[in-house]
Amino acid sequence: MIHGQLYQSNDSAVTLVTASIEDDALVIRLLNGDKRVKDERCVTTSQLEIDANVTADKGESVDIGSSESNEPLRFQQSDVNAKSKLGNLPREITLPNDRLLVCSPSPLLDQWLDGGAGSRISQMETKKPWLIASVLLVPLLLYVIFVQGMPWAAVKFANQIPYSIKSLASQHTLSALDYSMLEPSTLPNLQREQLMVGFDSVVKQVSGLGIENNIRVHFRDSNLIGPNAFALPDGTIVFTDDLVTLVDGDQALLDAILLHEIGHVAQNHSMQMVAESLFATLAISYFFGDLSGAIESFMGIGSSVVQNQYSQKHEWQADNFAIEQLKLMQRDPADFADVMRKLSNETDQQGAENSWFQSHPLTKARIENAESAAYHD
Amino acid sequence: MSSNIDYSTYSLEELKQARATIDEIEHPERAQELEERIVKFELPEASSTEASSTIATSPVATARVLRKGKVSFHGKASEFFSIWIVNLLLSIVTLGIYSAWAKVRTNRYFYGNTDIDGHRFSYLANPLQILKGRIIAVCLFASYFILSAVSPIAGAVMVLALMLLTPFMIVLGQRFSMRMTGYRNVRFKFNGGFGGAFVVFVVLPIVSMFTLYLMLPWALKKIDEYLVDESAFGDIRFTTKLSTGSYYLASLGAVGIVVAVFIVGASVMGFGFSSLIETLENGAPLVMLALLGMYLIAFAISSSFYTALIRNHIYENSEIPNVAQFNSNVGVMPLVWLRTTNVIAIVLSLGFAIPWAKIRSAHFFANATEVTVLSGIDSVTSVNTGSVGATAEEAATLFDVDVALG
Repeated sequence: MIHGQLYQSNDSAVTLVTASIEDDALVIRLLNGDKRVKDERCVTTSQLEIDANVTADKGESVDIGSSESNEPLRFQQSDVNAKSKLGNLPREITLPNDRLLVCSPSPLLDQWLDGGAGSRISQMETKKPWLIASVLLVPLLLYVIFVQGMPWAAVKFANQIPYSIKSLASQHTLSALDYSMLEPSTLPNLQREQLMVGFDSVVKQVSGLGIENNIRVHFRDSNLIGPNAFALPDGTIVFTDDLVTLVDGDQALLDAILLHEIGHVAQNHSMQMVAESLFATLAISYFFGDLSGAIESFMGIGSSVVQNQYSQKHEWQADNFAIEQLKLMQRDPADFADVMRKLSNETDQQGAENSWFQSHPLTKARIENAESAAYHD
Repeated sequence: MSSNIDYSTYSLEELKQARATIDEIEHPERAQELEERIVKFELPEASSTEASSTIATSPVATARVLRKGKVSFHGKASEFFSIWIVNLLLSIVTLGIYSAWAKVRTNRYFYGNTDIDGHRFSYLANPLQILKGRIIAVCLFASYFILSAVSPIAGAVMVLALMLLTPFMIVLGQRFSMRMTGYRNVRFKFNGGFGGAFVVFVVLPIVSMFTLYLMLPWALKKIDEYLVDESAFGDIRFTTKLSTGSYYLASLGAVGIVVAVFIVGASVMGFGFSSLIETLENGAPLVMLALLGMYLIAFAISSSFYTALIRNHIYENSEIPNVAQFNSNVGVMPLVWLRTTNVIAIVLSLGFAIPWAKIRSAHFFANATEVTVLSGIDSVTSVNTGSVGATAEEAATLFDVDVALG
């Protein structure tokens, strides 16, 4: 026999009851209606009188709680609807007419409600082997999903995007940037034309990728982004005036940068990044959702760390693409190391590098990577 | 087992001791008797003279104090850990589909273990409802995400549209979470309309921008007032009377703390680190780290200050007339300690401490919350709200516009 609370369907009235399983039926007795209960347990009669009065006032919908009807209520399994067992929570059992019985869990009641083995999910939540398996599998699967699964799915996703969409995206992005942070280039026309000629011959040598005709180089001035270059998904590549000035217009060094950016385009990195950010955001919010306050803001940091890792991976791929292509063109990969070194000298306030919080890998490592390629040549 | 314990000879301390140790599921009637006797000790007039107006804060003179006690939370970290990790495994294996079931089980665990006056809360949402909502939300979120990647301009337009839609989302989200909360087999309800939400969530914050945010604390007060006033337990609405002064105090204090932390931090760095940094080959990482640490300390203290003050203020000044009154005594430093140690534990445990942190927080807030139950508690009428339209509401909660009080 278990103590419980019987709630009415139409208001917040409560009746203290006892519940037991007799002849495979759930039997509910009013706590003061049963002589045996009264003798065994300490009952505060005043409390029950209040309950009895309150419920009696409610009229016809009440068939338990009034002092006249002390007959126990009997329910078959088909009459009741219980929420699955969860931890050591009191069982919530919905009776006909939306009344609710809440009582502490007991093995007998659990068995009657859930059948012999109990509900499957609650079994998993309480059994040691499942616990151990989960503790081991969760980190492993998360690792596989984030390190293997998402990049793989991102590549698949990116390859589905038609060129027209990428072209549209690039046009919109460039005009938004032109409106906000970029200004027309102030480099002399002649210098730009000469650089373009050099770039053209590089692009011609990068063959077999099917993107040669899409590469279009632009020059822009910008106070905000400094010496920099970036690629848009359709093959538009933008150099800032500051970058050209930084390397004194050295064609070989700019070619190395161009190849790096072509690497991003050839490997569809922009579109992959969209997919990876989307997947990572969704996964983190659905797997670890319903977190609050400080923990949530911490998960926000976690999400950007994950995205930075993906971005760094893309940078490595683009670096290696550039190094490979330089070798194929019989040129020195040290050019790439040189231009990286120049960039890092220029922006050495960024020396505070912690690879977790940056979208680009550590410059030092990138220089070493390019130099090691040059050394073996 | 003794058949009768005579509590009438107990002193107040002994009664409290007995109440704190009794298993109220095993012996609900004893727990209730103890509580009544405690209340009689603490509020002699209130319980002896029925229907008197001794409860100064209650507008209705007929309400009588039945019991007064802390919210108790019965959850255990070890029990919840295995629920959490198994549900996480199932969510991962099913590529997120099971997360709807996991959400229901997590919420059921926390609601069902929260106990006011011997009665547990219940979480009533159906996992399929939530799954439908999540699928819609994922589609909307993905299309928003991809669209803004394709065209930053379209993305910006959508952000603006979403901002204007925020009040609708908040109303839908509040309706869903209130309706899915039950206590004594009576559901909560949110009555707020879109118009009122638009005023407090869009118009007032924009207006306050034009006053250099000087009006912002007042706007924040209006938001909280709206959220509480439009909530109801069954057919009885919450009422609240918040003071603008408290919001200014909390906001100015929060800003002051940030300023103070940075001033102290800057002078410590200026005097203490300067020589150290010069001797290091590359001092920049140290500066970055120090700045990050300062930011975290400032954020932890100032947000805890605001949360504690405002939560306490809202609880003290809100009630369900004739049914319940509330009290909250969250301390600022205990809250800072709770949050800081939670984050540290989660980082050091690589996330495995998340369930422990959640259980611990629930204990903390339950412990700081006191509810006075009035005589109207037994006769709150249920309102049949039906179950239609929940999908849109659940979808709305996923755009991170969930609002929470304290």
